[in-house]
Amino acid sequence: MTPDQPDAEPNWDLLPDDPEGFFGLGEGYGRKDLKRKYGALVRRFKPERSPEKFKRIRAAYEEIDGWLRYGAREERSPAGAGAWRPLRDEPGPSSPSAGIVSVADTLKGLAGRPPEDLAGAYDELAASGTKSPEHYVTLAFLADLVASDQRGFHNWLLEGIQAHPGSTALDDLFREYCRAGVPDSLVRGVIRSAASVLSAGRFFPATEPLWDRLLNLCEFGEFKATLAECESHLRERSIFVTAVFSLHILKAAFFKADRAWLDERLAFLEKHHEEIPHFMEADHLFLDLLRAYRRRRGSFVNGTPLQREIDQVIRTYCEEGPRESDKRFMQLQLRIAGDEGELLSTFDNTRKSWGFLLGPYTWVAGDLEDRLGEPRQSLRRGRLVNMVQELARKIERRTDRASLGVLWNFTLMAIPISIYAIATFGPYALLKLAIGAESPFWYSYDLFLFFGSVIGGLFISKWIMRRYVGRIGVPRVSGWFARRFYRKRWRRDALAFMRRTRIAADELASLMSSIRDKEIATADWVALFVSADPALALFSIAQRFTD
Amino acid sequence: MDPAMEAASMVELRSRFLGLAPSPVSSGRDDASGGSGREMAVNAVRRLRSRIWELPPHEARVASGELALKEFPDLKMAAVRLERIASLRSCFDEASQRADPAFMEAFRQIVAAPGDEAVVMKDKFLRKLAPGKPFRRARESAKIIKRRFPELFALEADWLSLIIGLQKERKLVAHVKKSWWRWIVAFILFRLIVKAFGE
Repeated sequence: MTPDQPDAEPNWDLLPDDPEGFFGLGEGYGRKDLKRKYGALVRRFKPERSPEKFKRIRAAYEEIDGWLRYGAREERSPAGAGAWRPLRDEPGPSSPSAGIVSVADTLKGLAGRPPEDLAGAYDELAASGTKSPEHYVTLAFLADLVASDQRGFHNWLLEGIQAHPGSTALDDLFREYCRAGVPDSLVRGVIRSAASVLSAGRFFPATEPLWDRLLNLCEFGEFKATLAECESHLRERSIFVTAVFSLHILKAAFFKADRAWLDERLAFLEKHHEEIPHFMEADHLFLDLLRAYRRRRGSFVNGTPLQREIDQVIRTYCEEGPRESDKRFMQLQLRIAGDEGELLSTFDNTRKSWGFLLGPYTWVAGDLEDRLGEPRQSLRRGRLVNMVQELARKIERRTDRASLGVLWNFTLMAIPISIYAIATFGPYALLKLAIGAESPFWYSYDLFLFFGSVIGGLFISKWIMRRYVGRIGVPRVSGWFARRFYRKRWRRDALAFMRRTRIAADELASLMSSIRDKEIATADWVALFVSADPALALFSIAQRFTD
Repeated sequence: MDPAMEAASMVELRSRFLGLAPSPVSSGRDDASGGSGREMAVNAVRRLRSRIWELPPHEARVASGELALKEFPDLKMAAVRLERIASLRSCFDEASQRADPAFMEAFRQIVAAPGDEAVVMKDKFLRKLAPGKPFRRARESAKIIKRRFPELFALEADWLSLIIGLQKERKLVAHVKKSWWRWIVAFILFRLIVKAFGE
């Protein structure tokens, strides 16, 4: 079965050897496909109802995500070199491990025994010359029992990995330990120990969760120093793996890091852009959006409380887990949808460009929407088109009736008439003044000059209109009126319409601009301002998340 | 136990054995999974929504108050609205006696529906609202709600206001023809200019 057949039982036998088959992922799948398939399965096997099944699904998901990002797929073969053999069947070092079937049994069997016995078994196994991966795993677990120092566990695993680089068992156990078993006090130590043993290709994928935690456990300076130290110790450095790791860690560190470090890392990514796999390009794009946001962030967070809250939502998304991030984001959506006054007054500057904010903010919203996957209903497009046309007519009529609208229409009429009048009668009047109205010349040519100036003025005024007024003057004058109308009336009309229809701001702008009715001249202006208004963009996002 | 197969269980056993607290990374990541807790909460709100008019008012209030929605502010808002609707049940019953029953039935469905669905339902109602008697009845009902039941009016103020002002609105958008007066203004202006220069 695949997640495409939602009611069929998944083929659990495919795990852990064939997680792609388990999820039913076809050729050339990406991280989005994986997330979708994973989400469908998790909705069926919830952690509180089927914790074991959920754990297997989660582990399979993380494994494929790791392959996708780090591009290092490990082949699992039960008969291969890294296969796990219970110690009982093994002819190797005998006495301490004899009869041990599994690590769990080891621990169970040894837990009740006197400490001297355990210490003896541990010393004996530790002193043996050649050790198999199973011996290292057993030593790691025994170290917990005989020594109070928990460092023994990861040190034995790392020693095992060094001795048996092909052992999937040791590798998997160490990765899982990094993911879920390292206490806060050992995070830095485990990272440093791993750096001196593992190659870059194995180090970053395994220790990635620890770096996330280290960011929260210490000052950024210490984090930076640890990373620099580890990178200097790493064997076989890989640009690809470093780039993938940088894409991950830059997001988490973006708001804590100093500018020089960020610039250096981002420059590294720019330089090795070709090395970044295509399915990670979206992450790279998000970093670009964050960089643009960071440049303007200083003045933005010094603004209103709503601006600070928006900033916190973006920051929480980068630094915290989904639980905290989603909660904060939802609270903000309620605030935005519930207090239009605050929203409109916060973003009342319609001249300013807010792309720096909307980029990362829309990203955060899109990510949450993808994860929630809750279906939404909406009005049919045909119906929306009609409704937008009605709105445009309403706006046009109200604008025409307003005193400012009358002035606007009058100005637009007065401009060409004035230009024509000046172009026609200006030269005629000047000539009359220069020659003198009583001149005999005037008596002979007056009529001729008059009609000449009327016809000449027509051409001149047309040329002026086309060259200057039509291109620069009229748009400027109309822009001035339109901006005032937008702030005073249209903006609220558009917001009320969005509330009524739940249409997105960009869709409203697009439908408005597609109106071809010449009688509705304001539609293009409304479309222009709606598409550039961050308040409406934020409001339409908020509507997607609120009932 | 094979670490290649059961690494997670082994590490979990070890952590439990040593009394280690689960690491923040592992505990936080479960939530990234697609929000199973959220799905339960969504279903609970959905169940409450579907039965809001069947449950006795006090039960509906208790049920919405008992939902564990602290982690999901958006669902909390929906639950608060449902709680409010339940507490206004007697107002709805009273309004049904005064206003048009068909209108009240639609109103009940709309107030209890999720936002997106409500938008579609409201639009459908407006489109079906034929001019004449049905329209007048709906407008009168909306006016009664506004005048006598302000708590109910507050639940769907925009939509009810739209119905009240719908006739005006329809006239407004019926046709947009530029006014003829602007040509008169233009003509007068032209005459004035000609006259000024002519003298």
